Amino acid sequence: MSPPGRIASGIGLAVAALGIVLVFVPGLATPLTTSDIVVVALGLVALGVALRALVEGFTERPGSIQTPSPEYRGDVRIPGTSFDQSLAALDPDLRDRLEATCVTMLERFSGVTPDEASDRLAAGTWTDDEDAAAFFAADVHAGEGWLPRWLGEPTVIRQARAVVAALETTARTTGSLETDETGTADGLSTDEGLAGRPRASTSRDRASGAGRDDEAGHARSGETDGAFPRPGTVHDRRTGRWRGVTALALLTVGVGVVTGHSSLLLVGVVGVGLGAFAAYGRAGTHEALELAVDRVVETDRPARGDTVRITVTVRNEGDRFHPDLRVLDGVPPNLVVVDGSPRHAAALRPGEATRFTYSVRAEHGAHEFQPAMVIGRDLTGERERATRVDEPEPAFTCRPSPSVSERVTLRSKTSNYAGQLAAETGGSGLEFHATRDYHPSDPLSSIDWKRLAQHGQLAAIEFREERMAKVVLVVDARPVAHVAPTLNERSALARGVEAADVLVHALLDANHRVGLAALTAHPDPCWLTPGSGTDHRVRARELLLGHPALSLPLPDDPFVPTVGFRRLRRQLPTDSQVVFVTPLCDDAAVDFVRTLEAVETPVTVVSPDPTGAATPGQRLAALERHARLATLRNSRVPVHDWRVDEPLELALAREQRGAQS
Amino acid sequence: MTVDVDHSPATRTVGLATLAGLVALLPALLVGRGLLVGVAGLTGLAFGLRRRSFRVLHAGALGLYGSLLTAGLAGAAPFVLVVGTVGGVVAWDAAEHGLGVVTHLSRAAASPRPELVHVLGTAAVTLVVAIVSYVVYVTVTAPRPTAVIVVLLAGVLALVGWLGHR
Repeated sequence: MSPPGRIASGIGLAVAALGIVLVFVPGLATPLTTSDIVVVALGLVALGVALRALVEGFTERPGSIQTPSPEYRGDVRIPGTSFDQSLAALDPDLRDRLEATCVTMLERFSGVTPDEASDRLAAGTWTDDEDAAAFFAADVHAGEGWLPRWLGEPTVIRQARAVVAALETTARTTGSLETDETGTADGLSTDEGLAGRPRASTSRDRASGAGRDDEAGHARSGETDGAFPRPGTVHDRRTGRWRGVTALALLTVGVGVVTGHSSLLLVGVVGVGLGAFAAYGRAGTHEALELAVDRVVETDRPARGDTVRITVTVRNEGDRFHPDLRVLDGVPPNLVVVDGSPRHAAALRPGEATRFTYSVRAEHGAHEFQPAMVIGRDLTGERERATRVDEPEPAFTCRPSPSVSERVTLRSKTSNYAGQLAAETGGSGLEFHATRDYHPSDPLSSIDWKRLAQHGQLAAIEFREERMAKVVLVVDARPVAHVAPTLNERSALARGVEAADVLVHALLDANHRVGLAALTAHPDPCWLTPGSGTDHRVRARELLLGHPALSLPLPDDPFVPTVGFRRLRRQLPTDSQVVFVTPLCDDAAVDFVRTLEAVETPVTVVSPDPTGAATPGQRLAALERHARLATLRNSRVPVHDWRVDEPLELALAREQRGAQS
Repeated sequence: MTVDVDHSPATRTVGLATLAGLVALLPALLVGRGLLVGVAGLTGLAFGLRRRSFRVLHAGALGLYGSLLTAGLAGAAPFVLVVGTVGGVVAWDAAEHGLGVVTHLSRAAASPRPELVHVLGTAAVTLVVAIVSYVVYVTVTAPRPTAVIVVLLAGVLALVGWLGHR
């Protein structure tokens, strides 16, 4: 508090105390004389001030700190949510944005030029749906629903929904879009639309709507106003919860003075006493929260899907009583709580401890606990301090043994060393490659005896040589890849790391040389030169499970595609091929693949699906992703589309079957 | 299957607030004035808890205050009025604190001990203030000069201004 504030508060408290004394010991006030008019006027002033304070109290938004939701995955984004928000808010840019997306998608799905697509949209001939056509074509008038306009859904929203449905129909008609059992669009989506506009929606979006009344929203994390402070910092606040009581005390005194009811003055004096109690709370300094948090994890090597029980003990190591502690444990960001609660309220005397338990479902990866979040209030509730208790954090790792049958479709580019990948060159091997004229130096076993018997011509049979491939697994670890269909699903990045982990084993088992890289803005580059052997296998797994670029929190630095792509391209060996693990959340991922293909570095894409189909925005995002898949497949790039509800093995096998057929 | 986080207040919170709120209705009940406002306020308090709305909760508390004010203007006895005031303050405090805890945490996390510590602390302070005020009020019978009111109002004004701008 500023020095003038201290003086004003001191004077106020002193005068209020004097007033209370004079009420009960009127003899002390005999030297003072004041007319009734002044008293009534003061009473009216008091009424006015009290009413103003009450109105302010009701209109001001509570500035309470927002607590994250550690039960769910941290900071994951749902593709397409920002489009839904624009739709709900009737954003003026909505039309341009949807038009740009439609043009691009018609270009990709229907094979028309951008100008033709624009003409079709303007003429309303791109779809048979009147609502969808009317969204872009001024001359087309869609029929109104049976509900009055003011009662039903706004026309622009209805038409925008129709546009998305029409695009789905177009994509389905052209065979670019599969349908799932519910008949909704199936696929991935991104945080950036085809028009290149950001459309991110974070878990905070959901959090803000957590409460029905929405006065106390919940955020996952972050450093926005009201968000929980970062580790190593504290957030001190005075809640002002007693302001209303003090204002009502003033109101009561005012009414008592004006009406002459002394009993109301008594009520007012009680209120003033409580105001002094609150002032005592406000005037104090925020006490340090000297707490120790200890966690016991049931097992440090759980199998995937196992329920892991965590017991948390919070101990007051200070010498002050903490009457109101609110604790949220720092659940590892990629895990979800399946039983119990990582939240706990406690009142702790010095040296006292409290304990609570909850369970998480084990997922692939190394999982570190975050510092526990604690909010402490004093007895009055006026002083509030929020901080994170940073303790040595235990961790547990879930590393399922990969199945050797999980194979990715590799391209035919090989090295000169023998291996298991069929090369484009003929020689010794098992698979037939071609026949050629016999040469005297050819071994007898290579002679095509059938041909000699039938036609009397000597020819030699060549088999497809089996060579070793040099494969670099590139994991898309940009923030745009931290997306999932719902807040309860693993992000595409987490699934991508799992896929890379599995593929490292599968490729090494197949005697290929395997390297690792990540597309990231993290200052510590994630790179492992292609190699083989047991030590290399261990290094690869440690890199995948422990590199900070592949785990939360993601770096704040923005990823600059030109710089990041160039840096990675320079690292790639010339005779290597790339397996790119990406959710294809934006066009930059497609550009990266095209750039590599252009410099004769073949690419195979493994794409974890992060899209949902619950809203128009999500469906639109899924369509956009399918357009990217179609683009890559048209360029003969193998793409393994890995849906959220299927094992990786199935996705890899499905794509291989498709390639063979 | 992930857990659902329930942010609705515990039954204990609603019970405590309702019980104290009934005490706040006592003056209105005895003088027969302001009961309707009080019942509406108590209902609003409970509804605010159910809706997890601080605004509705505060509006309900305002209704309880209206009931006290009406009873005071109707001539309720000072003792009853003070008892009602204590009940009203505790009802609001229990509800506001309970809702704050479940907003930050959850219904499952809101254990009884910190809640009881807080409510009992507030109740004890309010009781002490009320008892001291009432005892002095009934023992001092001399007429109060208007200057006393002036000083008291000035002090309260300064206090409210200070609290409002911190």
